[in-house]
Amino acid sequence: MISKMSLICLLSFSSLSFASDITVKMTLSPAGSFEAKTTKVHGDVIKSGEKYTAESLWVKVDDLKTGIDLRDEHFHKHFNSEKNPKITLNNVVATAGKGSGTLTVNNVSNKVDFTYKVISDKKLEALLKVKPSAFKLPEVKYLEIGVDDEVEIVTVVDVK
Amino acid sequence: MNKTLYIYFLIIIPLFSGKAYAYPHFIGHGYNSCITCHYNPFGNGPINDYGRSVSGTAIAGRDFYDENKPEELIANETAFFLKDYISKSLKPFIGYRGMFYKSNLGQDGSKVEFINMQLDGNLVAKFGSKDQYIMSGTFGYAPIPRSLKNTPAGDAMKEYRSREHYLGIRPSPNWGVYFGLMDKPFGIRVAEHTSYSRISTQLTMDDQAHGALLHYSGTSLELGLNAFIGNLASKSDVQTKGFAGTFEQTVFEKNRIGASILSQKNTYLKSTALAIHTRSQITYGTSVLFELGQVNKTPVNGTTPRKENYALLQNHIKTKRGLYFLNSMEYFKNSLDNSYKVRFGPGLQYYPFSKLELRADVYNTRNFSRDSNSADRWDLLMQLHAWF
Repeated sequence: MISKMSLICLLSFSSLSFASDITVKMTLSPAGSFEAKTTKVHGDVIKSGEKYTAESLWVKVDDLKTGIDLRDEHFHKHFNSEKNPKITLNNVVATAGKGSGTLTVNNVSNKVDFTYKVISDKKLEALLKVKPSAFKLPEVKYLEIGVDDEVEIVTVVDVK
Repeated sequence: MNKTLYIYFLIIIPLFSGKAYAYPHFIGHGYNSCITCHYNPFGNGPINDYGRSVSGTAIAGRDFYDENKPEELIANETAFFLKDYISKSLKPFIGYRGMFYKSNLGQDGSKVEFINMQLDGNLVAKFGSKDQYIMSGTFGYAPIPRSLKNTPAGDAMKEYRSREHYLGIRPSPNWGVYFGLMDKPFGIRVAEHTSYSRISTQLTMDDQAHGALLHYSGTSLELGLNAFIGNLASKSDVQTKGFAGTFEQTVFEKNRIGASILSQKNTYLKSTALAIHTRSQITYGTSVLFELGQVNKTPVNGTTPRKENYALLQNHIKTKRGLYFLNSMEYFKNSLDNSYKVRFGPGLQYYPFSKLELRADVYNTRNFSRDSNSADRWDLLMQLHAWF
């Protein structure tokens, strides 16, 4: 009986991720977290030898969903999506597990570094951490709960 | 989530599990700590403005709203009696729980009851430049537990009393210290006060104690330490003194593992409890909780000590906004006679709109003993929970 329960628990005790192409992970203050996800990542990553490049990868801010409609509204408004509807990563160059590019959010561009790992011949998973304040995004506070000024972005992209 | 796992959690687990429902499940919505939505860092009691908004716009459904009703308006309506957060410093709260209970389904001794379980009024006052000071007081109707009726302990209890009042200071968002009457931090604080994890550990609906609580909440670590001297409103011989501690660590992003210890003593009994637990988000809105514990109880009068073991597995499956399957499976073993119990059964939890929770559970309980056989017991519980 106990072993059955343990087995069920162990089966559930893993972080299960799904086919989301980009996930923006945010930490709440004082506690908690949420994610904004979309499967609509535009642009191509091209492999040439051991080098990966992309001219431009982008998502629409309004395509990012957090699981709560009201939070989506706040999220999109916070990114000023009516005026700046896209988040883009341009001039991407990556090799040996590390890469860089120019990230544009809220019409502010900054060079960013990221790490990546090869999932398969056709897929890469990249991880980058950014500070929203570096993109002139205001501090977030809703009913006294805030969002930390460090955001993790995980993206799985197809390779051509 | 892949299809196999989805089927597993949607169909297979409900077949094997029983009761559940509880707010620790909201790790499934990304809320791994109670303090995001509750004033008390370990949950229970009134929810804060953010918790009210989440309850209305993420937890509760919108089946009864016009499809064009803005979410912002729904969020505003979650405030006390529809008032749009009228005061920054004073936060009133009223909560009610009532239960329709039909025991021993299909048996001659079947009984039907309606129990008013709770009617509380609460006021939270926050002050300081960063709201670092908090006072919370709850007072209301709390029925005498059935097990204590017509006993000296039950006769000494009042039906109108406070189950929680405290003063809290949070010098930083991470640290807080609280003084007053509070629940003891231990294990997973599930809502069901009849679960073995709460009965065996003596942490049910009337087991709060006066004391001091230290709380830490970091990015991935949360802990609480509590020293207590018993509920000073109760008779001195049943005032339970001791300490409790619990911690949780986030692992693999959406899972938390934890361990707890509790040592307490009154005039009649000394007990020590240890537990480990996990809480995991499976998909958004869906979670699984697991707790395994052992309680050693030593009567002060010198009679035979006993060891109790329990296990609790609960899941919370979001089917759509506002509607959840709730299931749990419980195990309890008593070393005195080596008897053990298994309880399971599916439940349904529905939040049709903000401030209302409806829940129905069917519990199957089996008692296993070397000395006697007993038939399966089936009970039906239907609960109404409203708050303002």
